[in-house]
Amino acid sequence: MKLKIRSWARKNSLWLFHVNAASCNGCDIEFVASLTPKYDIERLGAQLVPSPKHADVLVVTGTVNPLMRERLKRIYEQIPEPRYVIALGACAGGGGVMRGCYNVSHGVDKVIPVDLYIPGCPPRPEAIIYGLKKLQDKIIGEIHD
Amino acid sequence: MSRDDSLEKSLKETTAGLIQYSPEGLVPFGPVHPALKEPEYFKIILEGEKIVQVIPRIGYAHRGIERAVQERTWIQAIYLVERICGICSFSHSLAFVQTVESLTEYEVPRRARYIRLIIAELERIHSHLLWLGLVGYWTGFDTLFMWIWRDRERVLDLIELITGNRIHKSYATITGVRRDLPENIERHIQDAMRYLTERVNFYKMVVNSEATILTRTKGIGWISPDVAVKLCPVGPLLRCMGFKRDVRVDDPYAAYDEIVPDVKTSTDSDVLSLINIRLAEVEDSIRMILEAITGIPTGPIKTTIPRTVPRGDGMGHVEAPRGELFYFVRSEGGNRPVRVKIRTPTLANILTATEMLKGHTLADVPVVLTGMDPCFGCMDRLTVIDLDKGKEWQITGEQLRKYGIEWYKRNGVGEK
Amino acid sequence: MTESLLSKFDELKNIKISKERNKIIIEAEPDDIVKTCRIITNKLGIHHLVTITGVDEGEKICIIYHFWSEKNFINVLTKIEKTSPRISSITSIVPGAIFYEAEIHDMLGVFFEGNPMMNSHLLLPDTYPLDMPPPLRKEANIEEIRRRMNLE
Repeated sequence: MKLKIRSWARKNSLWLFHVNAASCNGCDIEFVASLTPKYDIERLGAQLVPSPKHADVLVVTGTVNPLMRERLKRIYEQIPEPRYVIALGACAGGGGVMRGCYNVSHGVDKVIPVDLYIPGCPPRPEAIIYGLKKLQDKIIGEIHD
Repeated sequence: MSRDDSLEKSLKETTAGLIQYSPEGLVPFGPVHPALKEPEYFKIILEGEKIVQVIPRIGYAHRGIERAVQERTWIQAIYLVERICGICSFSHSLAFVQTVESLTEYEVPRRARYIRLIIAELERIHSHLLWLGLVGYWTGFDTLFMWIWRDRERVLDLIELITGNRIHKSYATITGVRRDLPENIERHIQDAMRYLTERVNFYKMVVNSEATILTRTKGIGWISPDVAVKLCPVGPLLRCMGFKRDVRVDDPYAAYDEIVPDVKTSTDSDVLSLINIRLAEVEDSIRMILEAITGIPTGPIKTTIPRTVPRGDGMGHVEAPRGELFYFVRSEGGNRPVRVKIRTPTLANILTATEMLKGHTLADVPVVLTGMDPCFGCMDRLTVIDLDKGKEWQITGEQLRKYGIEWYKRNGVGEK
Repeated sequence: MTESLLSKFDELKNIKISKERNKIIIEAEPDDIVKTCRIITNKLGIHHLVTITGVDEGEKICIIYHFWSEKNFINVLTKIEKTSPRISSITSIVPGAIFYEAEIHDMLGVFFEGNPMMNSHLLLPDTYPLDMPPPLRKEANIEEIRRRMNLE
């Protein structure tokens, strides 16, 4: 019973920290647009925080280029457990249209473990809301682990 | 207060062999030595409370596109090139196709030129509104940020009705556009433009009378025009110093020879004049879109061309929302480009923006850097070096934003 | 117009000027670049440098300086040998050229004498293997570079 309440509280107040790892900014502006009045993910309890130490979820956009790899790992380690990672966009999922260029990694999962992929170039705010709901379902499903 | 000699010595070693920057000498500092362990975007050097030097380090968004485009065909290259930047993606694809068209003998049909003008101006409105919302965010005026981004959704809805997507439109092709305008689009455009005109008048009133914004932008970021011209800036940053230069008027492309923009300049060269110039450009774009949609000619929207492009060197430029965007394309008669060179407007403006920061305090850094309209990730992390106290510390963008708001509250916002 | 332009460059030998639509192309020797740019900024009064392009042509590297006057592109074209890629920098005349020259140094390995940014990278990561050719040269192999930087 206690575990169920904890998961329920966790899923309804996801605090997000956003990192732009060498992206074209398309996914970033769609992500910030989902916080504005027309789409408003704050009604799901999600909120943007200024520091990784206050966050539950790390949202990563972009192809991770070599200058950003070490920084990304260090930011991931600063987030207290339990932590989740969302890879937003086609570039973060597997390289996207930049696959094969000399300065990109083929996806965020080559650097840190990922819990949720949201595809799209860039994904619409509706897709981001749907992705957050899927993450909430995954969290509530964890009481059986 | 005595300077810490060891810190100054280590700074001299890391920037070894470089020449001091001064307006008379005009040879700038270089970036820091790569052996430093913590990469950051900007290194800010303070003496007391005043900034004496800002050293930028770029390369965080470098992905190797100029090399990748040599392995794609001409049409595949358009999809790659428009994903360089999400905010001005149509400007990139338009500049590329125009440069390639200058190598062929084919003309763009008149209807396609009008449609290209409509989409380019819609993108200018969306980019300037996005920027103004960010200025509100960095100065602590969150309500303005939320209101403006809500109004910006009307523009994105229009773009989606015409091209099918909000951000990466894939709409321009060589010698034309890919799809025609849908039915009844004139009514949708006129409704949206009426709504936006009323909102822009409201924002003009807010920006010029609200104490939060006026204290933090009036007189901030001044630079002498003679110094700035030698650093070759472009776009609104150049126009706020009094130079009437705009690629749409100097070298007309699309339908700008028939629907002429009204270029606004100012002589104040501070951040408040940048805000007013960009709002005036939004109003002008609304006028041009209404003129274009009422007078649009009928006809074809593209011509069929062979898969290869004749041999030659092509050069083309467009006025992106941030400034002049330049493309150089070399073809050797095949179905792939041999060399594509891209010069984005932010690269041309960085030196001028770092020069504008000298003499200001740390609290002014976010507003002045946003004034040149850089890409998003540019202000994630900075290093501050205080020469008098001999200390060096890291600061994130969010901490700098809070510091700026607190500093201005302590020093009397609205009392100037 | 081309004759009056040619007369302003009288003091330089081996110079060729051609015009095509709104592009003027001046072909000069690498040693005359600084003098040519000085004539363009002082005598012709053109201060806006758009960018500097570098192209690998096999045995030579072609460097093109693009200037924009109110109505025309004025391009200065020069070619240097790939075996000894050195040329003087123009930052003493046009300070805005510093980033453009640093980019060509990164991407094609050309050394600009007098530019303060020649001992560090502008765009390439610090982990770029130093014995591999710069990425825009024809002999650069992208898969090999990716393997050496440990990018799967």
